[in-house]
Amino acid sequence: MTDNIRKPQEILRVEHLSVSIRSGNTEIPVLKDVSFVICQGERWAIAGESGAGKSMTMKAITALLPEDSTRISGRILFRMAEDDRWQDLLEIPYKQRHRFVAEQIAIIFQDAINALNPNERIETQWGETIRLHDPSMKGDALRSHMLEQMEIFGIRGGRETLRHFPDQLSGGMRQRIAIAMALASPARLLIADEPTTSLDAISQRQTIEYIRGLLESRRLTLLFISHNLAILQYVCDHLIIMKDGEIVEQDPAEQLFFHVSHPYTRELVGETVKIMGGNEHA
Amino acid sequence: MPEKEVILEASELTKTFQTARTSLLGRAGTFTAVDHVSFQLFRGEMLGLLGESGCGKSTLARMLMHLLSPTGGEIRIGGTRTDQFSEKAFRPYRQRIQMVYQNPFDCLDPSMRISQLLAEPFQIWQPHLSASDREEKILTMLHECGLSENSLDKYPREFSGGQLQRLSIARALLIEPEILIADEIISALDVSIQNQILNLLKNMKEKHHLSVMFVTHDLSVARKISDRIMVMQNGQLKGIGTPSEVFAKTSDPYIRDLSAAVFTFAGRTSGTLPQ
Repeated sequence: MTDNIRKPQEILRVEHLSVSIRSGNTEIPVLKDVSFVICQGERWAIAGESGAGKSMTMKAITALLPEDSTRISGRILFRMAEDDRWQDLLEIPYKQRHRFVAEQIAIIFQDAINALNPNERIETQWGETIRLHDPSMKGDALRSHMLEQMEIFGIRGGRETLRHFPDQLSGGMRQRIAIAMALASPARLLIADEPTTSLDAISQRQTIEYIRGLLESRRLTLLFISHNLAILQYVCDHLIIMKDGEIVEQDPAEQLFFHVSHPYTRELVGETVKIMGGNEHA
Repeated sequence: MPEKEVILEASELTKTFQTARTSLLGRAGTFTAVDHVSFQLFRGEMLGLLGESGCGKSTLARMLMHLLSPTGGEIRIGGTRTDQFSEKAFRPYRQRIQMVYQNPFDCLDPSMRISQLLAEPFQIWQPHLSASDREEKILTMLHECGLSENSLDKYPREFSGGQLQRLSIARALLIEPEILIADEIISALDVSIQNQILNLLKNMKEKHHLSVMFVTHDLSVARKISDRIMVMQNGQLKGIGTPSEVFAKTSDPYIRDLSAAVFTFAGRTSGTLPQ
């Protein structure tokens, strides 16, 4: 294990991942030969414009693509926390893959209102999630565990908040609860798909600061998907640029933002500089 | 320097809505979407209206467009009070104030060809215009908006979001309005297209001496494009002035929080950018 100190351990290897969607007799390729490697503790970003394949990559990894209408090829190797064994996610039968992903990977989405059940109180659905990972949790123990977690995750309001339905909470608060629920598992990898896009500027800033704090305190590895280069620059240290289902370029973030080589990345960086501030473009 | 001409003015403009009753015997509450907002739009200026979702900026825009009648306050277009006009009395003013919306896919009838969509404003507002004059105006406008003549035979679905937004701008400007309300017109577009549309808007503003109210939730964009900015929160006007007046010199806690929350991007593109 001393090896890990010198060299960060790889935890996710995506190799030659291709996805196509079947529609009638035709197949539309949406991801073409996507490969990247993420090491423990790294903060990766997938950036690109709409239709680039960002979310498709995330859905392929997290088994969220419907099996009957998509064809996936390649390998998605995930290193198991318990025994350091590599597991190819695509080799796990589709139905069991969900369960596997739910235990190994924490996922948060664009708007938590869609991730939470609108008809259940926060307490009910959060409790269910916790019991999924630890069935022994019940009654008072479960409630005090949730209150403890609320403390850790900075969710205000105590019992009052637990009794609310999702639509009674602000967008920022909902996203925190969704994050807390996603991290009820012992997952080491957090995948976030545009987690702040639907929030207003002030809650967006708070949520990003909050995610950064969690990355530190829980020693999480991150795969962050966003079209917003300014946020990715603030959070991530490695970057993948995608376009039309392919990886255009991948590098440490510094390299991509300040020593651009690929014309598409140059365009993206240049346009973002024009819109979002920085005065450094030569 | 000549005195600035006020082309659009709102004073103490207010809109309240009734909210649903929460119980059978309870009384309906009221919700104030726009709360005593006063401002002036000068001829030829780009006024940014900045606010988060739910701050009342769209309600304000709808009142200015005479699509919603105010609960209180006044609206003046070119000095004439218009807020209490009937639809018929307001009709001449519709030509002077036009609006472009966030999502061009929703605004352009998918069953009509571009040629029909662009002819429609003339049929409504200038029915006596000869066909050749009409065609000439449409072609000139298409050209100014960076679209080619062969767009005319196509349907909206054959265009990208950025091109459709160009068409929406062209359509709004064909009848030569003096005021344009641009409501989140770049929010649905990719970053590489956003700059193109902003540049188009700026060029058209100069060329046609337009006064533009640029509604946005994005502080960086508002700061980049606006001559003056007004900031709204919870229906109230929190500040109005040049970007530096509003952001650098503000004492308002909301505006301070908002500017502190913005993520800025730093990057370098060695060599020259394709313009």
